[in-house]
Amino acid sequence: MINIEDYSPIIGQGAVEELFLLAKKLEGKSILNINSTAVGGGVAEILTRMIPLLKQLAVDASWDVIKGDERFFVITKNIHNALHGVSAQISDEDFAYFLEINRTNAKQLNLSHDFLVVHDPQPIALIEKRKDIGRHWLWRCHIDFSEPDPRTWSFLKNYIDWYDAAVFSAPAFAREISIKQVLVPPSIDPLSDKNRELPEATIHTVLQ
Amino acid sequence: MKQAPDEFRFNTKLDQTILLGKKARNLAELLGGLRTAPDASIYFHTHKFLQQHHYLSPEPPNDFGYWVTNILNEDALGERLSSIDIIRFDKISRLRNSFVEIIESYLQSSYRSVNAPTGQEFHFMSAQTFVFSTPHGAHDLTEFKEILSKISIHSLYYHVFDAALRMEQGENDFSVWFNRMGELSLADEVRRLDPYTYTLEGLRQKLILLVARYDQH
Repeated sequence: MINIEDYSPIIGQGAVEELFLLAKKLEGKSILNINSTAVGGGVAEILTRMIPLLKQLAVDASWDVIKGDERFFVITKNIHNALHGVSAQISDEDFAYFLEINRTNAKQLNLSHDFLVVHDPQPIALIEKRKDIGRHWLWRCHIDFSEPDPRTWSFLKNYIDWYDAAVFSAPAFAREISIKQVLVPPSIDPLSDKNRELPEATIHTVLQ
Repeated sequence: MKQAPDEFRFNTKLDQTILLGKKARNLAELLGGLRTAPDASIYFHTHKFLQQHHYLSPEPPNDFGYWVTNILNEDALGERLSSIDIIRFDKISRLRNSFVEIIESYLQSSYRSVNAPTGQEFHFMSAQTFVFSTPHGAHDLTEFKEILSKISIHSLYYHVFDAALRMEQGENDFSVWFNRMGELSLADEVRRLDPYTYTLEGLRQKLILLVARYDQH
């Protein structure tokens, strides 16, 4: 079981103490993270580690995943590629279906939390629910946003502007939009299996 | 042992980087951005290196000088911007004017117009600072020294660097408190310390040694 105190030798006891002080500011508030996959992919990898750590800091954090069929995820893959500047065929019907799936999920998800953190474009249109329920909404974009396909960008911007703030991973992804944009640089978890030191013998065995 | 008339409450701060969504491709656009960017953006681009990397090269580097030198390859101008002594300025407006004047003067005498390669534009940013109290309070030099050894470098930065911009005549939060408790020589030594010539960890050690010397009296 991962323990927040295990990070003290790496970042210093003072920094861990500050995390507890920060967490105290969120006392009595609940946070729901929403993305599109429970396993596989960077967002799931982040949330798998981050939610238990937040709970140890006494933050009421949770995580839910939207549901979609194959057609929906083909469309979101095309949107992803279009944001990377790759020419993608996304029809008006595709955009309409994307919205339909988002609206179905908005009805099924429990969105009663104080803060809703929506990750990446797949669940972005859940924000439509804001006009009914209010709450604080944050959109976190984990993907390259520097040269997006204009039509796809125009579609997504309609929804981004409804959020309280957007979080990007690099300065180059910032856009001229009406909401506050903040930077959270990419980071690694020094204690995850992916980043742990391997014994020399293991390295040699793999290389052979 | 001298007791302070009041507790020194250690605060700390965390900065959230704000993306302003404005970018510059060349010197003219950089100049335009420098003229209109909020004060917090000028502060961010001149102090970020120090906070994020906790080290210092011989001159305090700033983002403007770095970008002009390394992306636009305008070495002479970049050197002039990089050599601006940022600690000399007690007001951000004066620091901003210094950058503006140098670039204006350069543009008047230069016919070159170089655009940054795509993806390497200058992105204007800023920071929102959140200050909050830690559970640590000192009532004398012994306690102060012990706490100083374990607080985060963010706390150290807040009480020394940020304080210098809040106060006048080179004061910082530590020197003001030492003064109030009658440790006038220690206050003077801390006031005269040039924090920009240390790493943050180095500054911590230097302050601990200084306080330890007076704590033995």
